[in-house]
Amino acid sequence: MIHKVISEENVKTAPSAIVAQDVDFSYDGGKTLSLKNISLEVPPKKVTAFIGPSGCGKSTFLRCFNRMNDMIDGAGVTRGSIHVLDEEIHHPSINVIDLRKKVGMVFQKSNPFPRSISDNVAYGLRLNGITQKSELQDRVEHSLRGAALWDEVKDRLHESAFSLSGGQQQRLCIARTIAVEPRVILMDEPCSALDPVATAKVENLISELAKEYTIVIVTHNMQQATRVSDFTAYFYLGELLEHGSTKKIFSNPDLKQTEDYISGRFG
Amino acid sequence: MQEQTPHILSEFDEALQLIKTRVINMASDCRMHLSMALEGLVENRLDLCNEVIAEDDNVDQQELDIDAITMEILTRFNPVASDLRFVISSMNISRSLERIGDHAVNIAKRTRKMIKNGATRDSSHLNELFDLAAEEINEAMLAYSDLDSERARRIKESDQKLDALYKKKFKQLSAFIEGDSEEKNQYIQLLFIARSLERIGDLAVNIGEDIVFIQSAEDIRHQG
Ligand SMILES: Nc1ncnc2c1ncn2[C@@H]1O[C@H](COP(=O)(O)OP(=O)(O)OP(=O)(O)O)[C@@H](O)[C@H]1O
Ligand SMILES: [Mg+2]
Repeated sequence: MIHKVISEENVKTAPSAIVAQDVDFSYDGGKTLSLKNISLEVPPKKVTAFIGPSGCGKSTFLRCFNRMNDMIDGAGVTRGSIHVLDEEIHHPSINVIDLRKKVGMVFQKSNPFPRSISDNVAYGLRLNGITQKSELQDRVEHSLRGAALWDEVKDRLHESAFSLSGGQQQRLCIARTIAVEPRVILMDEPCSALDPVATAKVENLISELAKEYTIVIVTHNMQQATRVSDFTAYFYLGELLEHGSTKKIFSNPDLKQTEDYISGRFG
Repeated sequence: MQEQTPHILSEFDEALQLIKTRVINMASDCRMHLSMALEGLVENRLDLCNEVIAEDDNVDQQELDIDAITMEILTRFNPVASDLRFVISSMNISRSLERIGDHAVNIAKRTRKMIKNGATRDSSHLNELFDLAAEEINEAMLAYSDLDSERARRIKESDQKLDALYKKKFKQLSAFIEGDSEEKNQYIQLLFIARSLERIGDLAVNIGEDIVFIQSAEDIRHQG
């Protein structure tokens, strides 16, 4: 059954940005399943949060959406389908590089390149064939503004990215991700290494970005899930147990297991 | 809450249990004050009336304590879902209890006035109203202590009986006031006491609604 979510305030829903149907996933060629029979729709231009205990498969599922798991030997989706923006992403005609352009990713630990601030953002643009200096400059500025970092770095664009604080580095990585104009942004615990002020800035940014992008975020911070997300999916031992509006999940979930997890009880 | 899995933070469970104990203690005190006020009326006992009036500060303090514990739980443990409903509803319940306590004080003050103007008379008019109001509080306490939403829902039905009886008594007592009898003032006081008992029933209904909300997340206020 597909956990079809209809936003309470927005019933005339646009088509889902991501549709996963009956997905099984294995790291060992199918001997054991790390994801079991997962069906989920991710609505566009909304924030969907994945929550659940460590090892339940949140990151694995997130990495399915831009086929990041392909890099691991023996790993892959063994059953079901995943459509991103109406294209089945395992279809032979799919170019993985293009897919990852459409589906950007921000990691737990910010991972800037050992280059200048502006080069970090320009990097992906150059790969995409943009070489004209003035266009690069414009897009770098636009992306840094989009990542709410411009004012803090505009006078030091040529300094090393490593001169930035952890929170600024994370926003730089977000700027680098949005520079290539993705449609979907995946974030795997993007704030777990940040202090509360830097976290608040990134959370603010996430809400801003949701006006233009579809966002899926993995978080262990329940308060963060309630603050930034519109929808929440609760995973347990490789299964999707409950999925619904964040308001519903955190006020009155259907399952006792979900309630026990979000309220910090022994499972 | 009883059958719930314990929290990983045992302090959180202890804090929730503390709120519950405090609310139940406050409810017992208010319930007792109501009995004392009635006994003051029936037995012409000024001492009981004075005690109810003096004890009211204590009830107010209990409400403040429950507020403080609630604030601490909200900031320290960030409760969600049924935990959050329990904490917020318990605070609401303490509000209702504080007002029940105020009504007990009103009853005691009016009784004191009556005693000072000569003995109280005809208090038997209020016996049945009192029993119904007291029973509603008892039921509310039991429902809260077991978090029993079925029991909590039934308070509303009992309250309809109390309302109907109040209307009847209101007519009867008003009839005594119309003439210019010497006892007119006594009946005015009895009428106000009846009104307090009717309001206590409403507050017990509110408590019942809070308990239903804890258990089912269903807001049954303002329904029918
Ligand atoms: N590269 C890998 N090779 C083999 N197994 C893996 C690999 N990565 C993850 N797993 C296994 O897959 C399961 C799901 O892991 P995953 O990292 O998706 O969990 P998670 O929900 O993101 O956990 P966490 O909250 O700790 O990040 C786990 O049992 C894990 O051990
Ligand atoms: Mg993970």
